[in-house]
Parts: sequence; C-alpha cells; structure tokens
Amino acid sequence: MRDVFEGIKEFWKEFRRIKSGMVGLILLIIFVLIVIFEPFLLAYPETNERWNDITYWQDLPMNAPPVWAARGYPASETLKPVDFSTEGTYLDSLDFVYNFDYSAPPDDLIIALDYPVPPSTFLSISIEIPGKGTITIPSKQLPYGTSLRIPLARDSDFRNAMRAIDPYKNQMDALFSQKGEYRINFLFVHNDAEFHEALKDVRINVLGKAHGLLGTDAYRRDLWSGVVAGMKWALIIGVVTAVITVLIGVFFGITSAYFGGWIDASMQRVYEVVVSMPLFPLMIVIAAIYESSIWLIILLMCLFFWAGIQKTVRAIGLQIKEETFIEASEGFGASSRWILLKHMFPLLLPYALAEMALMVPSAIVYEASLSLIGLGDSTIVTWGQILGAAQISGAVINNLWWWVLPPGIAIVLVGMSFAFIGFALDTIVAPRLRTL
Amino acid sequence: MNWRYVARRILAGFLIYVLIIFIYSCIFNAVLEETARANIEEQIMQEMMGLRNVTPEQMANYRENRRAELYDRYHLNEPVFQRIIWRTIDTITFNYGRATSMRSASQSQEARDIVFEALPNSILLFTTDILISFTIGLFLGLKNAQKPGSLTDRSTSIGALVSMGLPSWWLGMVFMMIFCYTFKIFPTGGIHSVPLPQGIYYYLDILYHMALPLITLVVIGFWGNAYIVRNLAVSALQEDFVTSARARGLPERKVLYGHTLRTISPAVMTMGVLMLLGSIGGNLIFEGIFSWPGLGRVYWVALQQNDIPVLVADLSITTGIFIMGVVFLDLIYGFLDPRIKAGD
Amino acid sequence: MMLDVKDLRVYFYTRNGVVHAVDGINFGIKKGETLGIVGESGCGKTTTGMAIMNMISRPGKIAGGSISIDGREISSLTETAMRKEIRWKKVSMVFQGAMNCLTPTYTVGKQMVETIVYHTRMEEEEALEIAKKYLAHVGLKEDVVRRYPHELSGGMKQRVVIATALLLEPELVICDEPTTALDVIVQAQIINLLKRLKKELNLSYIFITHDLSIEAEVADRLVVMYAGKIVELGTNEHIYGKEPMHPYTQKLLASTPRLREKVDELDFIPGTPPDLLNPPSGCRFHPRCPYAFDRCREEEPDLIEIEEGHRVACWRVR
Ligand SMILES: Nc1ncnc2c1ncn2[C@@H]1O[C@H](COP(=O)(O)OP(=O)(O)OP(=O)(O)O)[C@@H](O)[C@H]1O
Ligand code: SF4
Ligand SMILES: [Mg+2]
Repeated sequence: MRDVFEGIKEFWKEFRRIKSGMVGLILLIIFVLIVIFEPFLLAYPETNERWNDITYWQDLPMNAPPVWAARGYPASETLKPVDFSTEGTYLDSLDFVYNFDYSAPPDDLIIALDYPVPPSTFLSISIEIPGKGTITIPSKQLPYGTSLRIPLARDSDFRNAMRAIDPYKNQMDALFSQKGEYRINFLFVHNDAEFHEALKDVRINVLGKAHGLLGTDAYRRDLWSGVVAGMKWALIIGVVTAVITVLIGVFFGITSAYFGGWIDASMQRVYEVVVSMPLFPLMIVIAAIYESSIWLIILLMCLFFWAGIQKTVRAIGLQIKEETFIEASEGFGASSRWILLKHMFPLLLPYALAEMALMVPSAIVYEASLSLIGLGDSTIVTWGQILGAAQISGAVINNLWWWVLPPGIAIVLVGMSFAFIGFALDTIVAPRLRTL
Repeated sequence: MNWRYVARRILAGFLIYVLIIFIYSCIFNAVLEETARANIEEQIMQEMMGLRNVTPEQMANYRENRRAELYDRYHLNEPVFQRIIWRTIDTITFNYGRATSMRSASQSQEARDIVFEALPNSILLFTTDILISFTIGLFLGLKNAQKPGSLTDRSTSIGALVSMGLPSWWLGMVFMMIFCYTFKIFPTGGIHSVPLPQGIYYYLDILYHMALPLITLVVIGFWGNAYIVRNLAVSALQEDFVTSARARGLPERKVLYGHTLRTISPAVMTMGVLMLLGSIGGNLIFEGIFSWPGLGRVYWVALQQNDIPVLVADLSITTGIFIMGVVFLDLIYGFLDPRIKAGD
Repeated sequence: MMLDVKDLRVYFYTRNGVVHAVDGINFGIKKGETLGIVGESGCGKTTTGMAIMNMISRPGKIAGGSISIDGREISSLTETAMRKEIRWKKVSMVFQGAMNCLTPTYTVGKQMVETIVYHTRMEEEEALEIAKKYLAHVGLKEDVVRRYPHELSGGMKQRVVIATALLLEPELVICDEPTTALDVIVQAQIINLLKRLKKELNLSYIFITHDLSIEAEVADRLVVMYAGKIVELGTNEHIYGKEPMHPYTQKLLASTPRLREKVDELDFIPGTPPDLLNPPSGCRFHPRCPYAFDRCREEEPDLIEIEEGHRVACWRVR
C-alpha cells in the first residue's frame, strides 16, 4: 500500500515537470467543474430536456450574436414591473421601464405570464416615448385558459398604432425612434382574485439584437447553454469509449501474447479483419439503418478502436512473457488467468492509461462527425449536433460565427486537454517500457 | 521480397474483402431486400401502365407472374442464407442494385454508377492532400529531429496534439466562412464552375475549386506526420550507425537524408498509407462541407434521401479501397525493409 | 608525435549537473605505436576516443585542453575541414558495439563505397574494388559487398567494420573494445588480424578495452584511467614486467584472469566506481584504496614521472 502511494507520488513528481501535461490537466479540471456546476451555468435550466423543443426557445431572438460582440445593440433582457398598483379589486396597473440607448430597436417585446388567464380579462397598453408623448393601444380581451403571451411586434392593434405614428417604418423602428427612458403601462381588467396575485409576475421579454454569452441560433436556442450542456456528453463519450476500448485492447493483446499458438493465430486473424473495415463509413450506414443512439455509437467505437493498440500490447506482452518471473510462477502451478492478471496487467497499466487519454480526442471527433451528418442521438445535446444544425441551416453562408466557432473550439479544447495528458503520460511511461 | 509473397498477400487481402462483404450482407440484407421488393413493385406498376386492352383478371395475373419472375431473378424466393450468399456475390461483382432516388450525372439509376462517378474525385483530393502533407511532414520532421527541443520542434508537437482532436470538417466550415464568404477568395464549393471552362482552364478551374479543401486538409494533416517522422528520426539519430556514418566524415546531408531517412523509410511509408486509411476512415464526410462530389458527399446525399442501396454501395467501395491500402502497406514495408524476409 | 593530447577535459552538462567524464589527461602516440587504454566501465575511455574524432555530442563538450594530430590543432579546424581532412582520412574508429555500426538498410558495399567516393571523388566501380580489397584483407569473401548487415554473423560484421576503418588508409585507428561481444576464438582471430594489419599498413592504434590480458598482447604502451583521470602510464614492461606502481593498476591486474595460470580466487576491487557528478576529493581512488592515508583525501596527486616513460599519480609512490 505504501509502495503504491510512493509510486503515485513519484509519478506525480515526473508529471509535474511536463508543462503541456499540466496545461491539459488544468483544462480537464475546469471541464469537470463545468459539468459539476452545470445547473448554475445553464442560462435555461431545461436545456438538456428541451433542446429540440422549439416552444421552449420561442421567446429568444433568432440568430442573435453574443452581447459582447454587438455593442450598441439591444441585448435580450427581461423587464419586471417597477410599480404595481391596484385601483379597485379588479383593476390592476403595472409599470415597466425600458432604457433604450441603442442604434437599433429590439426585435420584439413579448408580454408573458405563466398563469392561465381567466375568462373576460382585458388588457390595455400605453407606452410613453421619451420626448414624444404617450401612445395607447386600445383595450382588448385576452384569450383565456392559457398562459399569457403577446408578442407585440406581431400584434395587429400595436401595428396599427405604430402605423399611425410613422407609416413608412416597421413597427419596432417606429416605436424606438428616440433614445431614452420608455415607460410602459399595462392595465388589466379582470374578475379573479387569484389572478390579481399572479399578475405581479407579468414580465416583458425584450427580444434583443444580441443575446447572452454566445448568442442564439436559427432555432432561437441559447448557444451558451447548449455548449455547456454538451460538455458532459463529450467527456462521457470520450472517457467511456477510451476506457472500454483500451481494456479490450489490452486484454486481447495479452491473451494473444500469453497463449500463443493457434489461439494467438486466430486472434490475429480476427484483428486483421477488424482493421480492414473502414470504421466511420460503416458507422454511417449502421446508424442510418438502425436507430442511432449515443450508446450504439459508443458501442461501435469500442468494437473497433481496440485494434489500434492491441499490436503494441501484444508485442509488450510477448516481451513480458519472456521474463523469468512468469516462468517461475508457472513452475509453482499458478493458473494462467492469475498470471495474466497479476503480472502482465499491472505492467501494462501505465501504458494503457496513456493510450486511454490519447484515444479520447478521436472518440469525441467520431461522435461529432456522425452528429454533423444528422446521425447523432437526438435526445441529448452534443457539440456535433449543434454544428450539424449550423451546417444545414446555412450558418456558414450567413457568417454566424458564434454558432460555428464555440462548439468546434470546445471539441478542440477537450481533445487537446486529453492529448496533452496522454502525451505527458507517454513521455513518462515510454522509457520505462523500453527498459522493461 | 519475392513475387510469391506479393501474390499471397494480395490474395489474403481479397479473401478479407470477401469476408467483410459477407459480414455486411448479413447486417444489411434485410433492409436491402425491402428496397429491392419496393423497386420490383414499382417496376411492375410501370409495366402495367403500358398494357392496353386487358381485363382486371389478366392484370392481376400479369402482376403475379411478373412478381414471381422478378423474385426468381433476384433470388428473393430462396432461404435466407442463400439470399445472403447471393447478396455477397452481387456486391463483390459491383451489382449493388438500383438507387431508390439518387441519379448519377449521366442520369443512371444504378448505385454502382453513382459511386464510381464519385470515386476519382475523392482520390484526386485525398492523394493530393497526402502527397503535400507527407512532404511537408517529412522535411519538417527531419529538421526538428536535428534540433530536438527547439522552438519549431516543440510547436510541432503541440500542433500534432491539437490536430488529434480537430475535426477537419469543422476547420473546413471556419475556413469557408473566412475565405469564401467574408473575403471572397475561393469558390463556395463544388468542383466545376458554371459554365464549364474549356481546355486548360478546365483543369485550372478544378485546381481553383480544390484549393480550399486541400489547404484545410494540409493544415490539419502535416503536424501529425512531422511529429511521427521526428520521433522516428530522433531515435534513429541516436543509433550507433549514425555516429559511425558521421565519424566516416560523411556530411550531415548524407547522414540525415541518406542513412537515417533510408532506415526509417519503412515506418515513414507506413505512416503515409495509414494517413490515407485515416482519411478514408474519418475524413471522407469532410467533402460534404465543400460540396466536393466524392465518395464522402455521396454518403451525405444518400443519407438525406435515405437511399440505402447507394449507402451500401458506397460502403463497399470504401472498404475495397481501404483494404487495398492495407495490402499496399504490407507490400511496401516488405519492399523497403531488407530485414523482412519474404514469407513472414 | 602523431597524436598529442594535452590536459584534455570533456564534460557533460546534464540536467542533474556536470559530469566530468574526462578531466585533464595527457598522452601522445608515435607513428606505428599502439597505445592501450584500460579502466573500469564509465571511466571515460570511449569519451577520450570520441574527443579525438571531435565528435562529442550534446550535452557534452570539450571543456579544455588541446588535441593535435600531425601537429594540427583540431579545435582550430572548422567542422568541414575536420570532416574532410581528419575524420577517416587520418583517424578512423572501430566503435564499441560495432555490431550496430552498420546502417541496416544499406548493403555493406554501399556504405563502404559511399565513404570512399565522398572523400576521394573516385568512380564507384573503382571504389568497389578498393572495398573488396580491404574485405579480402580482413578475410572476407567479395560477395559480402552485396549483403545487408543482418545477413552477417557478429564476427563478420566486426571484420566489415575493421575493413571500413581502413578504407582511406588512415594513420591512426581507434579501436574501442573491438572484441568484447565476440567468442574467444573469434576474439583471438580479430586480435591477430589487427596485429597483422598494423604491420602491413604501418598503422597506429589506440586500443581501448577493460581486459588487461588483451592489452598485454597488442599494446606497446598503456594508459590506465580511473574516473576520468590517468592514474598510470607506462610501457608494457613497466605495467606487466614488474609489480605496477599504482594501487588501482595492481587491483586491476589481480582481478584479470591470466591464461595458463591458475588462481584460487580472482581478486575484485571493492566498492563502486565513483560518481562523476561529485567525484571524491583528493585522490579519486581513495575510497576504495587499501593504502589510503590522510593526504590522499585532501590533495590530488599529480602524474609524476618515476622512471623514464613511466608516470604514476599516487602519493604512496613518492
Ligand atoms: N551523453 C552523455 N550524457 C551524460 N553523461 C555521459 C554521456 N556519455 C557519457 N557520459 C558519462 O561519461 C562517463 C564516461 O563514459 P564513457 O562512455 O567514456 O565510458 P567508458 O570508459 O567508455 O565505459 P565502458 O567501458 O562502459 O564503455 C560516464 O560516467 C558516463 O556516465
Ligand atoms: S594516492 Fe592514496 S588513495 Fe590514491 S592511490 Fe595512492 S595511496 Fe591510494
Ligand atoms: Mg566505452
């Protein structure tokens, strides 16, 4: 036990000397933290479950660049009432303030409340345009039974009111012709005491020309949330595939090396057949014909990737076999399984670890490639799928860089961190293997 | 290296190909028969529309007879195992059946024509890429091996590690955004301009269309090569025979490009062919980004149109090329390394 | 003097510190003479040979002293001049572990011819004839030129390497343990071959080995090295004739089995060779020396001539 501890300490001392390895490790720690704190990082908590559900994203702008890249443009935001007053029981008035200081108007203002509207509820809206007076949109009856949702830009009464101000402009341009403080007042007339309570939560979603940390895509999805949600899947795909693959490869290699003879020969034939199949095209066809799922993709990668390492393992295994101590334990009648496990596996473990880390980038890229052509698992959010959506929606043609760059950079960074770690492990392990 | 060995290796490759096609046939037979039956029904329908002056009874009869006839021709009446064997034989002889919706440029409906038409384009793009990446990698790698630990050497290692996890198609998308849509330097995809230029311009036009895909592939590809060559050369340069060659007064040029390179050449060639296999294994779909009409794009289009026969045809051809690569790798190795004796 | 080495120092600047592999040695060789260098593993023999070829590679460096060949100081030569005029033309070397010194992917003929052609601008056919001539000299058949190294036995490879060393008729051949990996019979054959070639071609040798019984056969004079320093230098007479003067040489001789002589037990030198990163103070042999006294631990003994041509570095010998 003490030995193991000393060994790890020694290993860590060597590892720390390799700069790129440390960079990889630090990156990896950051990634793991992102996964752990995902609920706090997601701007939209149901991102994971409702990524492909358009209704979840309907209150977001379409193809909006990130806020930091579009200074001077209105960002998406949610306005809460600054004042809530009641004139009589069934007459509620709410005041909102919107500071407009941008060179272009927001795309829309959506009035929303997640509470079923009772029958015969009326709403009248008035908006005070700074320095220009107040416009009033005539009172109208709200559709009842559902939650409240009025996108102003698509509301005919509002459009008419705007046309009256400036018939040649589109309604939002007409409304936001002035910079300054816009005061918006809602007057609800209803006859439901509980609704009165709920009205405090009425909000205005401003559909900005810019949105969040990474903008939105053509389906109005918040890309920051998507990229954050994709992190765990990248790690799962990479790590699960790498671990299983390397275990298969190591066991295949040492079994083949240890038994030799016809077992070795036939195992090597199996290997030859496996390496002769082009994995990715095969995955395309299988995923196209049978229903794709993340576990099918991982399974297929595991069934093929091991071939990449078994040759080296077998060579090392043959070398270990020559070592006298295995012959010695054979003399004492140890069973072959015991020999394999007790002697060969621990010796190969460091090598296996290095190989695992080096395999992660490929696994992530394979999944992303399948997702790109629409064969991913549509029940989860992966970076490949975000890029696949970008590809079919013409993000490249429209220069929507905030859609194309972040998921790809994320893929590269995660791959890079594992590659760096694997490289460092390999640097430590390779000379040891040579002196085996 | 003798011809018996070459012949044996090629034969072994062919047998593996047959075996793999058999495995494919087992996996995909059910789906392919479904489309085959649908094709037959459609064919009969069309034939019947051409019939004149027949009673409904005759119609039904005709349908039954034709169906039996065609099922017979396509072996659909035989037991499953035999159907799979027939499928294997058909696939090996390039009889992939008819595409469900795709057409080749010459309007052929045969899956074979669609795939064969795409093949040369893929070969053109990927062999050019490999030649360039390989050459850059070779010289950069040897250069780095002379000064291990230098700035270029370390940057190359880092580049190689980063490129491991860098999807070529993503870089393609980024480059396209920059060089085709922001700065309009390169065409936005395809292989030809419209109208088709004539004479020498025809080839220049292809080159122009190939430039950006090629740059993308090379930018990703050469790091790994340089890194591998560098590692091979660094360990070769520590060998006694290198010290010995230097002691004989030979200039560094002869030591590096002669003794060292010649000795690592089997491994270097292996790397080259492995790179080709890597392209086939993972890079093919890259073509879709640039609408490059090769095997990889056929996968995209066949997927969109759910054209299973074309998909399977494409897969079979890809596999064939892949195996040819593996066999070529073995032969080259045996040819370059005098220590490998024929037969082992 | 054909070769004159003065106060040569070769240091390796490793990550863990500076290794003083060769630390101030002096010796010379006359034309036609064989100088033996003996010493335990790691004492700097190969390094000395490499320094003479000016082929110390990183992290090593010639840190001081001078080497002159035929009166030309090698540190004043450019790398090109060194390569064209000295290496192989004047001084060639049979490397330790000659087995691995042949390029595995070149035929024997190709590597020999390449060397001749580069240095003499001769036609390839002519060069091939010369290669064959020297192969014949070392007792190999002509068809060896077409073979690859892996197709030769160890002894044959060793002969090829020796033949290659002679191609340009150098004046000095440095033989670094040319027989260590070979069996006794082949060993004897190679030794006899080297002796014959020396007479026929009037060569000088530096003959490096840790086997004193071989040195007795081939060397005219002998250098005994310990931890990067020369501890004793003298003719064969001085070393083997009477009792050698330096305690280390005595121990070395006592631990060498002699032919036709039965010993009850071979002596061995207790302790381990010193760590060249931090060599012991004073006489470097003192931790293992049975005669060590106080002065040995504090002051380093110089190499003092105690009789004509016999120098010893030991306080006890004063
Ligand atoms: N490249 C190097 N880096 C660091 N130290 C080195 C290097 N080459 C040699 N040395 C050190 O220099 C010393 C002398 O080495 P050298 O090869 O000359 O010994 P040697 O006398 O030839 O030994 P042997 O009989 O084993 O061949 C050794 O202690 C060795 O550790
Ligand atoms: S100087 Fe002293 S320690 Fe060194 S060899 Fe002589 S007696 Fe021994
Ligand atoms: Mg040595």
